[in-house]
Amino acid sequence: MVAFISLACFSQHGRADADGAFHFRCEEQAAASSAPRLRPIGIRQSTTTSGDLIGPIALPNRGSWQFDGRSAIVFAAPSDTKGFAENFTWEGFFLSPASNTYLPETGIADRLVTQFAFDKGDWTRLAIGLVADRDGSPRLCIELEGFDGRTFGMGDRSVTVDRWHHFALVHEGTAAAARIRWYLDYELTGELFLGGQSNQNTLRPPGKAPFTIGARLKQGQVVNRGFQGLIDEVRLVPRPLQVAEFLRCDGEAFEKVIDTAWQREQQREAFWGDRHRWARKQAASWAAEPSAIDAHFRRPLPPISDAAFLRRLSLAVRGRIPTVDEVEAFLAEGRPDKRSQAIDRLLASPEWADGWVGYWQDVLAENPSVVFPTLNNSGAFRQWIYDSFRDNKPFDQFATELMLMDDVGSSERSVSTPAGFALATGNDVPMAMRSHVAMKAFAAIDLKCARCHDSPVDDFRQADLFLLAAYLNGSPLEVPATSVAAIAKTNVPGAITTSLTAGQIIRPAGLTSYWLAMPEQPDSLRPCEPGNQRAELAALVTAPTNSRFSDVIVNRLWKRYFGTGLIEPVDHWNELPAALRPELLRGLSVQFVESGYDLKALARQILGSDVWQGERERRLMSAEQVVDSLFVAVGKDFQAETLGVHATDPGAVQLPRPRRGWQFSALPNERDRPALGMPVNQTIVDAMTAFGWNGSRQQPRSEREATTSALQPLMLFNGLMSQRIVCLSDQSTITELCLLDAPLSMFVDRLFITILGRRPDAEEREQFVSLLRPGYEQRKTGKPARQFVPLSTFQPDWRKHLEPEQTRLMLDAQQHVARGELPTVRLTSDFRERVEDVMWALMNSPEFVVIP
Amino acid sequence: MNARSRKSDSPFTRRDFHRLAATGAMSLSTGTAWAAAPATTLGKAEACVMLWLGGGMCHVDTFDPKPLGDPKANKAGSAYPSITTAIPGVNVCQHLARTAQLLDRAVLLRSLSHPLKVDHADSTNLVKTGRITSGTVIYPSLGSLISHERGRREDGVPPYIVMGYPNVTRGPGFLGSQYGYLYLTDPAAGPTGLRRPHNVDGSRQRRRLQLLEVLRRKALARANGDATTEDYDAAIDDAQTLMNGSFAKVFDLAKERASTRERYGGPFGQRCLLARRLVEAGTRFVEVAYDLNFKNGTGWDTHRHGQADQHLLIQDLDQALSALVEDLQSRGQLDRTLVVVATEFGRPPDFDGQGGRGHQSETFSGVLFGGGLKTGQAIGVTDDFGRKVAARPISIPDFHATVLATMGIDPATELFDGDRPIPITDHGTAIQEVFT
Repeated sequence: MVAFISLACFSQHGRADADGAFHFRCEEQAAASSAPRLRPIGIRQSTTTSGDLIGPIALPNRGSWQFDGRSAIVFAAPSDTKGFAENFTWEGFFLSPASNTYLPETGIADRLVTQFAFDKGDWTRLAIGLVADRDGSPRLCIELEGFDGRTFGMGDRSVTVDRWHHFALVHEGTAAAARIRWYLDYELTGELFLGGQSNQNTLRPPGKAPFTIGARLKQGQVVNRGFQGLIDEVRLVPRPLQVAEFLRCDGEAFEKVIDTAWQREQQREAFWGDRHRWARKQAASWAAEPSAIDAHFRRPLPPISDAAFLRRLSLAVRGRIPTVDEVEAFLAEGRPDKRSQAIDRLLASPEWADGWVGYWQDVLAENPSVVFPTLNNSGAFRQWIYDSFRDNKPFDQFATELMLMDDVGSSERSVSTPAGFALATGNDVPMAMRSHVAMKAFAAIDLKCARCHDSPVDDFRQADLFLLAAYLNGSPLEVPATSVAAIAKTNVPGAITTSLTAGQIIRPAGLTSYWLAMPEQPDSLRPCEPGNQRAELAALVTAPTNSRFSDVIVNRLWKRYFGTGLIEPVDHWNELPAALRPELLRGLSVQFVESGYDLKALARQILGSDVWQGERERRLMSAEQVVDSLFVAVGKDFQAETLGVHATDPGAVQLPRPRRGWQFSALPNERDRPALGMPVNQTIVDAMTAFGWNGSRQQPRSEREATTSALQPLMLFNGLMSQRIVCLSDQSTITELCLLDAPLSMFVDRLFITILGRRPDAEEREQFVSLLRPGYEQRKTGKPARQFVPLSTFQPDWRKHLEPEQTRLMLDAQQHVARGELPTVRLTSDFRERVEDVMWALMNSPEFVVIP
Repeated sequence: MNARSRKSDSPFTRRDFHRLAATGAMSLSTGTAWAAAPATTLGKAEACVMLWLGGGMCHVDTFDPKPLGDPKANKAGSAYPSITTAIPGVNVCQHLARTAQLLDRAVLLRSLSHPLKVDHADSTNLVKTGRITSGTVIYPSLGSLISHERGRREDGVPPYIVMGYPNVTRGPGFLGSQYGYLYLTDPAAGPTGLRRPHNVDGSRQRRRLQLLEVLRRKALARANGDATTEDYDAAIDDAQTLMNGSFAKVFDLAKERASTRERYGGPFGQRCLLARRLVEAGTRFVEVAYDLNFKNGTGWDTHRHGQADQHLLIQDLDQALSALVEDLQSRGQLDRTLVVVATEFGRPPDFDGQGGRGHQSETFSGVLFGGGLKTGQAIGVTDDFGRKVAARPISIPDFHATVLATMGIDPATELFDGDRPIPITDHGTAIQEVFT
């Protein structure tokens, strides 16, 4: 092997996520430069997204780092790294090739992750890596070097070569006594107790020392040999993780998944490339009128201020308000094209995906249950939505993949595939439900009534829905009696009719055109998987010649950005109403097809228009926008619980600790059992619910109820979540803002920008400055920050939830959460309280929740 | 799918369709064909308290006693001896001693049944909403239906309160969030958001509001007449009214006499006391969930070992329920307040391998107190061991129709999910015997 990764230092752009975790992922570009690879690496499932250092696992991730024994990645942890001294976890995936003939029998040469700690000129070291057992097979081991010599632990199972494995090391304890456990493919393979009476060797807490991936280094040189093989998705987390929290892949099926998924990915890429080239050629011949678009977009409306623009843009694209630094930099920028630059910058942000997930969860009725699926629950496919938008997947491909409901070799409950869309628990024809959802989403056809009878008003019959359902089913479908309405005999003409009878078998055949837009499909428009009925249906729905599809999606995006669609409602055009501006919708729709169904390109065009940047009727922030904006404003983590109660059941839905609003799910507790509660999550879900979020999405919804109620201000006045936002704890960036040496008026300006995205006017500044002036100079106490105490460490567990002790723990946790965060002692309490009151007033102003 | 047009065949527009549906010229259901029910007598109750015994209250161990069985010998039957009640000829389990004395103020529903059984959530959803999940319509819960039909009793008092965990089976379904519930899990704390934070005293609150006044004024000026801003600003006023009004004081149980609080008993009793205070304050519908499952290790879902200490739950219920009924009566409110004891299904007289009981929906019991009903009767009869209905079956739609009728709501009312007509019950018929 010739190529290897040169020493790379990630510290410049190293940034921990809200958890303080670092995530290293080999991106495709990086992989390309380090080719040749040992073998293609394909799709990997993940149930967690942690950190943006390199990014959460997205589909597909074909890259991985190849190590040749002489290379390493050095990660100098930034000085603000928290943790990694007493309680931490390292994990990742590795592949040890059969071709590696060098495997040491003692010590560790094939180190996966190493960390050094410099201490008084000497060093300690902890590493996890591979060593050969007596048979020469590799085993996962840990190596520990302290002042008293070396401790070494060998795993109890061998590692299969040429296959991907997951490794993890969990360290808990202090320098005096610690426990290290390490895991191979999610099962404990070794355990070591350090310190105490049994072992005098202790690890000097490594703290902020640099990490290396792939080798051990001494003075910048690889010692002996490093790891030979592939490593990817390394994650360093400053707390001990449970097995259920590890990055997931599909254990034994993993290898197969990689190969088949890789091939499929190659085929799909080729397919969509062809499809979009063809679409472009078609679209060139369609009569589009760019002038109509220009004429509309250039309409001079009263423009909004730069501050209002940035806030509107940030909420529209990223789903949250801009930070103080972003606002100040933008306002200070003098370039005439700074708005279009900002649009490009935000569209390039991974948060573009965060901004979209909640919308598609609603539209696609994503409705997972973390207790037991029931009541029309779907599986969880939120991560797949996120990944799709993160990759700016062409939208026809998105729609197709959804209808394929492909599990990519993974379980139905995986969050990273659209497989969960196939589930509709307790529904006797899940595919009829899914047809209804898909048609509403992508064709603006509402087939709800066709579940039980022919539509009395629209142009479709019950049989139409069941034919679609049979296609999604991929096999004949029996009509259950519950889906055939009993019709009272009546002589009224036009009364309801049924076109199906109970027990009738519907076969997936004969669907030749798509009935509200019926282009003859050219032969060149083959489905992405010939012979697959789901693919055939998807091909009809997403065909470039089917203008209905592009019109519907363009109209949906229009509605999101303007508040009103060009056609309303956006999901029910059974009788096509006249578009407000048909030539405009048509023009954009053609461009959308030409762009290869590129939503970002469409968004860029709309956001850059005068009409989008002009004054218009305002809207209330969405629930996710309220919550995400508030937490961003004060720089706090949700401290959310893992969404799940079955930590030990790999088949159950377990959703990661949310870091954004869309990641929450309903907290089902139909049994009213306190020990199944999630006290922190409940505070955030309560707030989101007041602002129109509903985690129980039993039905598709394109628009949330736009009601303003007293519950909303009540939540922001007094809710436990909002109390945390206000609280100047040592986790609040407002506390840090208070501690900066700055003139009082500048401090007040920054508070306004933090919450309202603008500077105060003269009267406001005068009022707030005079409130904060007394004691401003003496505000710092000189005391240190408090040690961080998590709000709750309670995690519900189905196996134990009926034990009295669990209920007590939950109620304790609930009380703790109700008491809230501990305020900082670095500020005088009198000054702190006044700043908190200012924060409270700012976030309760109608100006905060209403998008400018 | 071939192109077709039936539109031209139909002389009816969507509006005509609705008019027809509303006048009953067209009717449809997914069950059996429905013949128009006789006009229902309507009650005059103003409020409803539903005690929800989630998990599945065993009817043969509570309100429908049968010959004694023996869990150890795996002999089918009731787990406890029965006692006589204020209704001649009607017995209940011995752990319901206080309730037994008040049974002349109750209607026992002994022949409830429904077709679901396996899943708690599905059955709960059925009993609460009166419908099986369809996937096409999200049905409202009883509390939402009553709130929708009867509206608020008092300004500034939310019509529908849940003491339990929020979930979709308690939700407003297609009626929309304004008919949803306000929930709480800790009676002392009340619903979240209603009280100012513990660390904010009156002077801080005043300071906060002064600052907010400035910002509100500025926001309105900057918004230049924008409707959304003005709506939200008005909602802030509403929020303050709720916080400062009498409703927020309802949750202060310390205002009650110590003897009253004692009479109601433990945490579940205190919830019932709060329910009485809420009803008195003008709430329309209160659901009180029993959540002390740790008392026996399973709650009312008495599989296996859960059976051993089931009597503790029954005694809890007895104390709280009897206190609530007595208290309402002594305050002259029982006639206009319907108290419902409900659960998602019952349990068989047979025991499982570990002396507990499984699920049974073929028949189970519910109870109605007060509400101006013709009380002092038991409706429905089960077979010798309470496995099946023997006479006078009551379906869940019938149960819904009865509760709605007691509240003065016609069970034949048509609601609309958007443009789709939905009967308020799935063609249930109110139990005529309970109306005078």
